[in-house]
Amino acid sequence: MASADLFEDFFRTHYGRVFGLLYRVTGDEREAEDLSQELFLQLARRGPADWSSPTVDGWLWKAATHAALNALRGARRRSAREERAFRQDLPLRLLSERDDDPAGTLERQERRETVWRALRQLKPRESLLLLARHSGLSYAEVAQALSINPASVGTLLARAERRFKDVYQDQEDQP
Amino acid sequence: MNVTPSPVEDARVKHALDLLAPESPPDVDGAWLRQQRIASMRSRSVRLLRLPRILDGSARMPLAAAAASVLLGLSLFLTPVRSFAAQFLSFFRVQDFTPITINSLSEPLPDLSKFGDPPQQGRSLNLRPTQMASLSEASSAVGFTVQTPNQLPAGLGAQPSVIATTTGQTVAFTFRADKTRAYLDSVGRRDIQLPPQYDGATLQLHLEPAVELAYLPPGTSLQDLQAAAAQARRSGAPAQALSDLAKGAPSAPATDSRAVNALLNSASVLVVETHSPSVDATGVSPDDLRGFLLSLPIPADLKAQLQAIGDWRHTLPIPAGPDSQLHKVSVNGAPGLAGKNGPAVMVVWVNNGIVYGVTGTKLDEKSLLALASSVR
Repeated sequence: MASADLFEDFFRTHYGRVFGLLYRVTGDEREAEDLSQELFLQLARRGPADWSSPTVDGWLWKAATHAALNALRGARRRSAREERAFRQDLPLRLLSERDDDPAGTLERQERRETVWRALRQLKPRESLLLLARHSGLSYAEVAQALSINPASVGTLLARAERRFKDVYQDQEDQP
Repeated sequence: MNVTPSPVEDARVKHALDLLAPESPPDVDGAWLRQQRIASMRSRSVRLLRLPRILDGSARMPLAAAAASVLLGLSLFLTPVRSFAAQFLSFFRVQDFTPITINSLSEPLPDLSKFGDPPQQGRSLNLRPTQMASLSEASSAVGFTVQTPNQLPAGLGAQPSVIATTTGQTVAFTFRADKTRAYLDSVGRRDIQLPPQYDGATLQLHLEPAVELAYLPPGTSLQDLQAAAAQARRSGAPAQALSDLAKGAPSAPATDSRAVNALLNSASVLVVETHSPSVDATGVSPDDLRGFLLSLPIPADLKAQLQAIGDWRHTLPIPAGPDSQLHKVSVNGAPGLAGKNGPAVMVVWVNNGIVYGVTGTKLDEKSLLALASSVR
């Protein structure tokens, strides 16, 4: 198969999960798409001759988690200010929009914010571990992505889940 | 290969994380087409602007916002702002500027597509810069004499590293009463009235040809520039991006980090020049339209700032972040704005109907103003 076809295969195989991971981090479809496209463009430009090589997967996941980490850091910086704005507006929005929101979009958004707030209280790598795994990465891929020993993925994941559960519980308990 | 999601083990954690998952799977076919389009475009052309969607022709951002971004946001590191203010290019030719502070970026602002028919596909903006061989070639492409700064920071050559132009174009937007009504109802604003003549009224945005001059440190390429800009945009701070890149980790497919370092550690300059864009309309008077736009549900502080613009038909609002320090200046007697906006310093001014913008890396306001004054 020609290299171009191999790249297309590679793109089609992995795009969904890369997008899924970045969407979970950014919460924004366009942002996630832009980041994913940029990632594959970089890969294409710097990429190997052989897109079917298994090492390329590791490369992709490293780059994807790096992009996710950057997005997460950006979100961390924005979060305080936006959260303030969000909270200030909330009572008003609840009053004015609740009746016009039969699909529960607003409530869903609030619940998503709660999850993000909890994730932000974890170490960035812990959040990424959870999000990568939830995006469908295998233990082996998670290990490659975060440069950790494949044998410790299970332990680290369990720890991250416990930490998440604790802070998430606290978040939900807050009025 | 592992395509089906392998959820995390704890049911409660899984349930929480499920909330963050995409609601529907992405359109992989569409994504692949877009990937090819961007890739082929990048290999053919110079990209100076920081908005890939505008450049690859799939811009989904509001037209006028796109236009305004091109006009002023030509900077490498301007804070991305979903700019409603920028849609205020109504009926209008630039003679002055004013900063508009946008405090809350979390509040999505209504975009024009909610209010009518956007331009037909294929007739949307094409703002892809074309590289020019010389200043005189660029001058004939844009229809005025391109001017250059003669006070450049140390280390930069007197000649621009890249000369590129974009073509002029007109895009039309048609207001639709039904769409607008539906949108306003959907946000619970049944109280907002439409001007009766509003349905079918059109707005035309005329963008004029623009020239972009980049002065880059020796040994850096445009790809490095793009990478630096993309990094800065993603992380929100050039310094952070820089240190990440400099460490060389953990990003495998990075650009040439030495060149990016050179770029971010030495001065570089971008100059943009264009005839003022203009907007005209049929079917609705400027005052009616302005009144209607100002009645829309936008944050109160933003509305107050927009209302405060006296000569709104000739004053271009420049979206500024909460930490921005944009202020009015005079550049050789011509009105303009200067200061830090987002992570970058910028100067914009208008002289004899031509709008100029300069921005750069590693330059303070004073040196950038001196540079601006030397453009002639």
